[in-house]
Amino acid sequence: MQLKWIPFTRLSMGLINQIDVGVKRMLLEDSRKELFFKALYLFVLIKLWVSWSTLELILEFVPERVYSLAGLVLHAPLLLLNYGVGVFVLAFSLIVITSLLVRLNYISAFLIFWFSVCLSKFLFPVLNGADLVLNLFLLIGLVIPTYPVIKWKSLQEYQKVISAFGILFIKIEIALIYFLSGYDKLITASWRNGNAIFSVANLDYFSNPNFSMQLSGLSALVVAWLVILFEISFAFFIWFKKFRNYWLIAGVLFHLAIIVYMGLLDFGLVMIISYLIFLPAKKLASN
Amino acid sequence: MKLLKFIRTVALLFILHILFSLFLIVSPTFNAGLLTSVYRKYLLPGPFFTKDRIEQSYSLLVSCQVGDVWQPVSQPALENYHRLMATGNPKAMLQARLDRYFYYQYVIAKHKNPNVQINPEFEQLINYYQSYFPDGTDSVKLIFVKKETTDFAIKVDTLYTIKHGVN
Repeated sequence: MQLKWIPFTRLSMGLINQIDVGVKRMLLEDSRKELFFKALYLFVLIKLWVSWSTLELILEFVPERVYSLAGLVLHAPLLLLNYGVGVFVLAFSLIVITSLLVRLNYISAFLIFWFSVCLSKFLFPVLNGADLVLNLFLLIGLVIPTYPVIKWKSLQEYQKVISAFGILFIKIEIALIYFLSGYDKLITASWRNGNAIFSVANLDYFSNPNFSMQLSGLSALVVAWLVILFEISFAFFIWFKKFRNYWLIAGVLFHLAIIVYMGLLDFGLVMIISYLIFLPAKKLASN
Repeated sequence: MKLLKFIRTVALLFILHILFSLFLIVSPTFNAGLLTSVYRKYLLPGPFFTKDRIEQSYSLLVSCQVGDVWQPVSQPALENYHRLMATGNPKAMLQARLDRYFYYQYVIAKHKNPNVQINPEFEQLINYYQSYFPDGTDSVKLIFVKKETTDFAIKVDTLYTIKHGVN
C-alpha cells in the first residue's frame, strides 16, 4: 500500500525542489527598488500639489464624511484639513520630500502609505484606477525597506527575504492587473468585435479632440485585439528575460498612447513607473 | 533550515494567492462575501475599461439667463477636459472629473427616485456650478444628455431639462 505513495512523494519532492530553485532565482534578482519607490514618491508629491485646488473644492462642496472612532484614528492625517488644505499639503509634502532625500526606510514607507490612503479617501470624487494601483504598491512597500537593519543577527536574513518577496509580490500584482484587464476584454463581446474601440473613440471625455479619428470597423477590430493580446501576453512574457524588454517598451508606448489620446495622465504614469521594478540592478551573491 | 521553511511557506502563500486571483479573474461573478470583495478591491485592481463605462456616458449642458437673454450652451466639464488635452495641465483633468462627479451624483439620485427633481444632489450641483455662471445670472437651464455607443452606432438622448432660478 505504501509503495503506491512513492511516485507521488517523488513528484511532490521534485515539485518542491523546482519551486525552491525558482523562488531562489527570483529572490536573487535584485530590482531597482530604490528607484521604483523614489519615482513612486515623486509621483505622490506631484499628485498632491496638483490636487491642491481640487482638495479645496471638495472641502467646500462635498458633504463631510462621518467616521467612526476607529475610522477617525485610521484617517487621522485628514484632521489636518481642519486647519486648512495648505497644512495637510505642507505636512505631507515634508514627509515625501524627506523620504526622497533619505534611504528607503520603514518609517517613511509607512507615513507615505498612510497619508496617501487618506488623500485618496478624501479625493474619492476624482479617483480612478491609478489611485488603487498606487496605494497597493505603497502597501506592499511597507515590507520592502531593509533599513534600519534589525539588530538581531538571526532576523537580518528574514528582513532581506521579506523585502525580496515584497518585490516579487509587486511584480506578480502588475502581471495580474494586466491579465485581469486582458481577460475581461477577451470575454466581452464589444471588445472582441472592436466596438469598444469605436466607443472609446466617441467618448467625449476620453478622446483627444486634437486627434479626431474615424476608425473603420476593421481598424477598430485590429486595435481591440492588439490591446487584448498585449495585456494577456504581458502577464506571461514579462517573466522571461528574453522577452521582458520588448514587452516593457510596448507597455510604455501603450500607456503613452492612453495618456495622449485619452488624457488618463495619472493612470498611464503609474503604470509606466511600475515598470521600473522589472529593471534589474545587480546580481546578488548567489549564496 | 528555519529560513528555508519560511521561504517555502511564503512561496506557498504566493502560489495560493496567484491561483485564487486567477480563479477570481476567470469567474468574475463568483462572490463569497467579504473575502472576495476585499480581494477584488485591494489585491486585484481592475478591470479598468469595462463595457458599461465606455458604452454609456452622460453630459451636462448649461445655459444661463442674464437679464432677458439666454446665453449659448456650455459644457464646463468638457471644456476643462479639452483644456487638459490642449495644455496638458493635470489640474484641468481633476477639475473635469469633479465637474462630472457632481452631475453624475444627480443622475444616479434621479435614477433611483425619478419623481423627485430637486433633491440634495441637485442643490450640491447648483452650488458647485455657481462659479461657471456669469455675473447677473437669473436662471439656469441644465440639460442632461446620455450618449450610448453600441454596435458601431451612436445614440444621444436628452434625459431631462431643468430650469432653475439662481439667487
